[in-house]
Amino acid sequence: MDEAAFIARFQQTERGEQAAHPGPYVPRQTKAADWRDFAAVLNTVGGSLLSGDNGWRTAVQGVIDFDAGPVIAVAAAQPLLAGVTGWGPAGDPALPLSWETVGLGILVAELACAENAAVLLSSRSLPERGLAFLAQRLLVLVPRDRLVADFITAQNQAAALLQAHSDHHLTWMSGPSKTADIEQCLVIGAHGARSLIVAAYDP
Amino acid sequence: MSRHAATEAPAFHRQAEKFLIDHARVTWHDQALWHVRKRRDAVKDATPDWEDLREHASRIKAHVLDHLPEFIATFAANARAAGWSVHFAATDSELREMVHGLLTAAGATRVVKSKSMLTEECGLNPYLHERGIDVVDTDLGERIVQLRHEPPSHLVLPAIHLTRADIGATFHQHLGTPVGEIDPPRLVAAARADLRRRFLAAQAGITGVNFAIANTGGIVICTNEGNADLGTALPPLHIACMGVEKIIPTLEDAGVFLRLLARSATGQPITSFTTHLRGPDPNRPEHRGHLVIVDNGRHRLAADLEHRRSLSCIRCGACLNTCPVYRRSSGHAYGTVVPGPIGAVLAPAMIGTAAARELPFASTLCGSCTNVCPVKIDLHEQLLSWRRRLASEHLVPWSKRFAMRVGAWVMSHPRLFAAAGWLARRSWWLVRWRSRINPAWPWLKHRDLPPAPACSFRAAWAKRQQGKDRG
Ligand code: SF4
Repeated sequence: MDEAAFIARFQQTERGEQAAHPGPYVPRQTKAADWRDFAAVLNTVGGSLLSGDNGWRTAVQGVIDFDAGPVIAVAAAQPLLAGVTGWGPAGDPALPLSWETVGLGILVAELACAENAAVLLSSRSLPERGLAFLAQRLLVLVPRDRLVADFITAQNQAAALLQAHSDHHLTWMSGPSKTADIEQCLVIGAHGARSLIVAAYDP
Repeated sequence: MSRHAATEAPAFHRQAEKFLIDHARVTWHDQALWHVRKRRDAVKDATPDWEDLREHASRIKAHVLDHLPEFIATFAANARAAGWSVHFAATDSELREMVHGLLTAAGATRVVKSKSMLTEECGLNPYLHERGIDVVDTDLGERIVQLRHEPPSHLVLPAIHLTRADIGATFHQHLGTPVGEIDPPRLVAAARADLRRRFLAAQAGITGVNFAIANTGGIVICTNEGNADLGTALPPLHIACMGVEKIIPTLEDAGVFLRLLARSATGQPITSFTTHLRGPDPNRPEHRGHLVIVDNGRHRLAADLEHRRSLSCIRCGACLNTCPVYRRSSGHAYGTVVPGPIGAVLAPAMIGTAAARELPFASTLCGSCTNVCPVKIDLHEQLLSWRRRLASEHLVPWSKRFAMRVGAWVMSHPRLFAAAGWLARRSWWLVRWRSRINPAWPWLKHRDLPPAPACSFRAAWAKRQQGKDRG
């Protein structure tokens, strides 16, 4: 059916009240963004925040050394991993099937939200989209100063990013893949990553 | 044939009765859903602006529903600009033919599909199967019911009616897991291995849409498993199917709904993966993205001012989890794709009042659904108003009408009412005894009548007042 005919089906003679858009939602700002809040929520959704007492790079190196591998880093992560060893480049985003064997995928997020422990992946930071869902485990690097407390502000920032860069995809990722479809038992690792570690880095 | 057409003679009470035979299962089902409801309550209580969010969400939806033609046009234009090929389907058969045509043109016979109640409503899977296309549902719950040739019984928990033993048996039969394997992590691992293979080999991915964003032309898809992301990132062809009511004005507005959706559905702060997609991936030049916008009866609801609000539903399932009737009769009893309170509200408009005439009565009108609905649909009021409409269309059975008439007549004659009460109190023991040996009234099949009060309310009240007077 063509568009005009389709839309005509929804033209009403009797239109009733005309509800107006309520305008932007204004969150009740209660507290400042705090990585400890982020970490607490992330634990409840099956992920963990890397503590970086000896510097975030040392902690990331520890994760890589501990991993059975192979460890693959997306292009955006590569400059951040200078001095860190034990990883390889993700390669061509047009050849995603090669990522099926990846053990640990290292990604970079644009920002993080404490309210729901979500990190935002974009087409700019992650043209290698398939890797985020094919890798068995994920390590996501987030700039330490890009944490927001509430999701309304976080989503507004995501929309602003889209405005600025016309991203093809934007994904909020909150913890690893999971399912509770068998008797409501939570099982981590349904289709995507079986574990998710978030590391805040100092840009 | 669509499931709507297939369910034209619903017999909710008969279906529910079948489910009620297995007492242990009913209790288990009831408690499993109540557990989900309690998880929702916990996160709701931890969200101080919950009521503000609900109010805001319901007003955004009302705004869109009052301006649907404008929003459809804006969304379609921006979706094209974002790279989608946009199509319109007036009916379920148009959707089926459209999707089939797109798959055939691309030579795709191996298809992975993520959750979409709309394609379920339109009977897409059986249609494609009959034409030699292998469509695999990739949401674990949907995969389970697909292997069992059953429809989903819940909006977000498709296999909630099944125990781990049921699922273990199904997986043994189809996925080769050992006999008696009922450990959820091992069952999930088996499904993961099987579906991984299918994701990698798929030639097309079909998805639903949670929110269609008018100002960006993008679609938002929410999953916990990541199956929609795999199904859209890997195969070269992506077909997204959506009802018109999925449109919301802006990506900022989506923030309000996303704060409500997962909390209402499962008690999570947000789904594991919430992806906003604009057309096919520019990094994969061979990729194509199609968007099919469907009516299939929605224009009738949109034109019905009394029931238009029910199109606001974001399919969170909270009204199902809280409904005492749903919890104890299971989704299959409704015979419609969308079960529970919202299903009973949508069905009369979507499949016709005659076909859906039992469903608005499958409720106690306790109002719990209305209280939990994140977009503030007045579900129990809608159920009541559908009852009124069914009565005006003479679709209420004579027994119910007769009982209502007699009731109204007795209640409008005080002396008669008092006499009837007197008679009832004296003969109550007989009714109780009779109902125990052979309950004629369905209400009494699974419960006992309470004992009769010693005197009428008026008498009790009068006595109480006397007592007060004496001080
Ligand atoms: S009617 Fe409300 S509570 Fe029920 S599924 Fe829809 S949005 Fe959720």
